[in-house]
Amino acid sequence: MPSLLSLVTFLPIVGAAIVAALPERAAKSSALAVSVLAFLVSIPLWFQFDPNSAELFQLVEKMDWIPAFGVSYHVGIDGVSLLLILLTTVLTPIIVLAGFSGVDKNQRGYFALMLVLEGAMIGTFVALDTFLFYLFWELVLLPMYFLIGIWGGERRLYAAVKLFVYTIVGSLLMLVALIGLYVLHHQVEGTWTTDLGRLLALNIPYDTQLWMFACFALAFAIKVPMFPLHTWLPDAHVEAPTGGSVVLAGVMLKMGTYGFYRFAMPLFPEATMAFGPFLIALCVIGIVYGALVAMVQDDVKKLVAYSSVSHLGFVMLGLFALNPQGVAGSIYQMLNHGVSTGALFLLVGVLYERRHTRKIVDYGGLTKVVPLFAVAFMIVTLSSIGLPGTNGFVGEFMILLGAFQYAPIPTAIATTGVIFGATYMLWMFQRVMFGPLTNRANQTLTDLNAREIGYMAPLIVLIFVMGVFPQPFLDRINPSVNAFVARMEERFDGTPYLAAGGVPSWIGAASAAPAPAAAPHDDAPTHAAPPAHHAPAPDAASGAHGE
Amino acid sequence: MIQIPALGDSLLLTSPSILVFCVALAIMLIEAWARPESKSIFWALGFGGLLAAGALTALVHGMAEGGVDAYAGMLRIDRYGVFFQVCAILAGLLSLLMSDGYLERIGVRVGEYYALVLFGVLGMMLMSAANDLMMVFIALEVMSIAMYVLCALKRGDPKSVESGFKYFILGAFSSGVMLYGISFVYGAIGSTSLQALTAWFAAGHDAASNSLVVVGGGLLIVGFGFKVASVPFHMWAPDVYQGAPTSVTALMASGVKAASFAAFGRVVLGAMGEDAASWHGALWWMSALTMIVGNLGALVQDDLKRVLAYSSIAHAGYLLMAFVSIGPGGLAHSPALGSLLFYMLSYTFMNAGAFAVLSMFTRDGKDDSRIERLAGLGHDHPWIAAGLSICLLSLAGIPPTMGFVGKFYLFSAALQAGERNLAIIGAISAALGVYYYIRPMIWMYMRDGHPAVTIDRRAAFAVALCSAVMLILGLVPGTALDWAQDSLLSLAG
Repeated sequence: MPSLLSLVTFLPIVGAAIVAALPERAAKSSALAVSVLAFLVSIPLWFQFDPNSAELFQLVEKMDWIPAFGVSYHVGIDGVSLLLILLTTVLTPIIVLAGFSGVDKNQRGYFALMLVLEGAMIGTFVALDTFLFYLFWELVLLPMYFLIGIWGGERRLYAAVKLFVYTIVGSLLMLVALIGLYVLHHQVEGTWTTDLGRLLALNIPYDTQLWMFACFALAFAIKVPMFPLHTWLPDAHVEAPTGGSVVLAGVMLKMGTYGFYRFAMPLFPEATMAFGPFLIALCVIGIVYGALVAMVQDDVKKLVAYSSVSHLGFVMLGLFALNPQGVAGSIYQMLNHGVSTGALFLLVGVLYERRHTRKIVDYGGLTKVVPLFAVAFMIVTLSSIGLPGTNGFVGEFMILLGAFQYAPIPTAIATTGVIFGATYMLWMFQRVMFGPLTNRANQTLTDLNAREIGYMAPLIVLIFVMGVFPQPFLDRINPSVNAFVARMEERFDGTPYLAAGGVPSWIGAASAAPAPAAAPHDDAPTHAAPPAHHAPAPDAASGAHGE
Repeated sequence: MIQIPALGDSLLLTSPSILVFCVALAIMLIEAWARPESKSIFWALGFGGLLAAGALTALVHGMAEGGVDAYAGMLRIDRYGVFFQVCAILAGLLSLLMSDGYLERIGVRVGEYYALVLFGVLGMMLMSAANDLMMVFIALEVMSIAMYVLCALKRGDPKSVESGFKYFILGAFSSGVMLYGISFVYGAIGSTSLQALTAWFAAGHDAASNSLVVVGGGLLIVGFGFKVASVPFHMWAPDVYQGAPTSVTALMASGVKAASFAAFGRVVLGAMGEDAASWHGALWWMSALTMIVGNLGALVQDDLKRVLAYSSIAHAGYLLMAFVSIGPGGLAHSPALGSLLFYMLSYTFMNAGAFAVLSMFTRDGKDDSRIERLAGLGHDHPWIAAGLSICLLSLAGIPPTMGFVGKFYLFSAALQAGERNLAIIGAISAALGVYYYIRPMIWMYMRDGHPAVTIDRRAAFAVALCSAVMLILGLVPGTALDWAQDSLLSLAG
């Protein structure tokens, strides 16, 4: 009997094999059964996870996998991965249900790949071994590549290859840094291991941190995607089938931000501080640029895609604020974005299936013919804008609160992104939904059917639940966030770097000797806000939102 | 005091090679008298002979622990050599699996083919065990001459003849270069034995103090560079690989490469290893350029056979990375050699699997491996398409395949030795390479069509075997890793 986490991870993958083995006509029902089962199996995670536990990672499983390399099968979850797993298992049945129409060829393949994708994404969220993480990280790419390449739109091949090549460039550089870390651990500690916990215990010299962080950050920033590495995203979104877009926006992009949170930042805290201002600048540019570009789009799906660039900029901004509010808000916003943008893509998919166009000018006045659809669209739009009472507000507010303490001016600029966000979303909504019903083809549009209501309803409920009762979610996020922030802070109050003699010279810059023990530490606070800035009590986040 | 081991021991230790030799001779004899309709016996003989040789090798592996000299030190039977012998036998077996049907389709059905393949494998096996520069040279010639003939086997096809001719001219030239190098080394130290060479370096000499050794060692590296198709000595590879019959290309790309790397490693890392610093710069550049040129070259090819030819150049670059990754601790403390062996094993499988699929693409008695021929393969023959995809993903180094574990191992060896920049060059060029490995998948799965492919059961078995190995050893590589690490000790010892 496998234990719970492994079950949640591998059930969809095994299910995919079953779906692929069954005949084509059973594809829909079997895929739905598997995805619902996966969701049901994941529910006990919420209850078994104890937010008050002293253990950061729970439900841990660990066994040797490749002893010759010191690679282990090591999985476990903290509150952040718990919620991301649940987001994945909630979204997948919805995506499968949405795929009942619109997937016109080889449904078996489509659903099987979707389930493999689910398992692989869960795998990246549970992995506590860098080798295992990398394996799942790459495994995610393949099904997505096929989903876009086979079931995508006109320019699907271009989009699929672009996605693949962009991601793989980052991934392979990350692999080099990851192996570098693995080798460093061997040279310092004398044992080979890829275990995240043991790598975290390593004191990494400053110069080494810089190049390793750069490699990791590149891989994750491509996935997020951060400006200026975002150009694959609009193409992928526009060409992907609806289910592909939902999973891409809903979960896959979070793998990038999660990667920063779980790996790049805790492993290389000093480098995080050093790169922080630069990355924050990119976040702010991404927020404003994404919003402005979204505003001028004439294709609804592309508009939503660019809005993702902007929203994910907020998530990254919150992470780099490095204080409890910012980081917790950023994690919360990851979930929100998954729910709202996923819902937006589903709604765009509903329109596209009926009219086979996504051009804004082809629509107008839809409220009159499809009232239910209009209501759903309105709610999701407002959630995406961040209206109080919806989930988007909680996350964005916390991010801005946190980020303002750390970097007031960039945050002030980023705030314009919220305003632009309201502009482009509402303007789009107005052009699509209101006004005269000029286009004849739209007069015969049918409203949401029972199946569509069935898969939209849970998302709309989530939008309100997460907007009104964020506390249960934040309770699960906060212990992990506090540990994260504590780790970042602890590295700035006097932890010595490796003594000069202990550092193999290659690990630093190619020419230079290892960084002198004290120098980078003296530098660090000039890049960073002094620790005092982080001082607000760790429970400020829960305090601010408790009421 | 030279100790001459009993001839009986030598015979026993080399029994796999002797068996291969005898079977090859038997095939030639039977060929002379056999009736035309009984040709399938050659396949059975060749395949059975190689299988039996493989079984004998397992036996020798037990005896060879630590290494035993045979034939007065001309050969050294140790686990390092046995590892490469197994690679050569595997390459031979996989090539034979795709040969029979393929030869019939291209209209070349001659018994010599099997004899020549076996002679080629024999050369590879001897080369893996050669412990004297002269023996290296002789084994190289045994292998190469068989390959020259095999390349030109399709006498009616100008491309095949061009391939054989080109390979012969350049191969002969590079053999000459190598022989010239051997003569310089002999001039400097008075012996062609690798043991003597090791002893000479161990006595504190280095290349810098003896210009004869600089020239000799340099020419040896050039000669090996030709054989493994590393930049700048790679020019012959794409044309030769494309023109040769596909089953022969498969043997060349994996078997010949494995044997050449075996001798390359034994000479440069083993015998001249004490003085690694002298050769480091040259090998570093060879590795970096080979990775870059191989991957860039493959990007613009439209014929899959040429893609795989450039990919085999790129892989020579990855393997060469192990040569500069020995590090200060010496062979015994470096993962470099283990990664070389492991990667060679995985390369043998993934490469042969991809070629086995290509061997099914023939039209009117000719190869037809243009990439657009793959259109619709995923729909018409999902299992073959899946097998090819797995092999290509493994070549690209994407988990969970054996190719990924191999790259992980190679990169960790490089970083361990401080070759960060080389590892980054390798990663970037590998990332470029991913494009040409996923392109066939676009054709197979994302474009419509009905490929004109002949499903050949033996070749399909080879594809299935290779892709299964890629996946299984990608997920649980433990056994193969242990074997690779165990095998290098005899050289590092």
